[in-house]
Amino acid sequence: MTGRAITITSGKGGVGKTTVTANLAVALALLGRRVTAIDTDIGLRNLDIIMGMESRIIYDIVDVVEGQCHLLQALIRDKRLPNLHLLPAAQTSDKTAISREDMIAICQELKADNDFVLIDSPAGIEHGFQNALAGADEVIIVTTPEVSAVRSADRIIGLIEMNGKGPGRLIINRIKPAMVRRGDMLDTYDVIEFLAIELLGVIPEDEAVIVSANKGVPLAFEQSTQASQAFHNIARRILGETVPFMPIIEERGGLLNRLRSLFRFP
Amino acid sequence: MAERRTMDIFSRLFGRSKTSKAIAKERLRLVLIHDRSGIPPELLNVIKNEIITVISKHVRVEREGIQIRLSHTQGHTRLEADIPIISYRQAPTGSPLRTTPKTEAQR
Repeated sequence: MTGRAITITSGKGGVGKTTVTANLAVALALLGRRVTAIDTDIGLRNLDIIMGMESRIIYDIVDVVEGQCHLLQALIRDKRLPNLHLLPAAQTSDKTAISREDMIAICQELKADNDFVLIDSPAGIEHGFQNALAGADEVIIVTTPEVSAVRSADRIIGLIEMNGKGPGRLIINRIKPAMVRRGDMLDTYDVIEFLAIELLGVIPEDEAVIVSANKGVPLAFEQSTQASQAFHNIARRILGETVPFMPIIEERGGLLNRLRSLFRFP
Repeated sequence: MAERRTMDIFSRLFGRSKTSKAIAKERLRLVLIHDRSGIPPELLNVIKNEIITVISKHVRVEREGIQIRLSHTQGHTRLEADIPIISYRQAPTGSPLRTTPKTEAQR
């Protein structure tokens, strides 16, 4: 039995692809699945930082492709979860160091030993994105509730379909409930109405994401915040469970705070 | 800042200004129509100018009021033109309209 290769992509940069990849990898591993995450952003690697593995890299994906090492030698095992691995990107090589065929071969090999291979795509719609898509069985599109990000997502959904990998499923990242309530942010329904693909999850804006990136410990290791709960829910949906979408509550919600903000009390 | 916020709430309550979400939706709608059809806004401007040239031969149009836009409903993209007419042009001699006065007289 072979695993599923899932590419996480967005078109626009900075919407949270890498954070989503790291946290879904951790959440799926915590659910007992064997997971390998691949960073395909050659020249701008980041997934190693978010997963706290940057000091343990010996070989990278370009070394594997160039035959400098075996695939297994390049994999870094997570210190807490023995069933979680990272295949890091190269930081120095050129983007063209890897071809689509290389990616397909690497994904095939990893799928044999994993339940999930999560592929973190670079931003953009060019070579790196095409590579990230090449080995994918499924695609997750990450967007934020902003005009520019939704537009990029729409474009990328079109390209995914052209590549025969469509339609993909959507994660809406960084929703701010207070702004939605004020009418200053697109909500989940607005985004779904525009993009017309299946919703996989909604992740609220959460300062804990930055704290966890500072520490190199993905948020999904704890279940204390709304954002980490959202990652765990998404992981379970990926496993085929029906998990209801949780209502996203304001961080310091409640009637009193609403009244305060209405009347501008400090 | 506080006053501005209060003004915002008031004008929204009385429907005088749109929320920024409504503006975002409208802009996104237009951008996606262009992206999906592959017709850039620049091309619409070219089409608009050519349409004005053609129509102006026959009728006087109100240039400022002309709207040429793409719309997308039920899987079909269409080009919509809204062209306000000021008056029927008194066509100059030699124009096709002048050559058919008999037709009009017969009516």
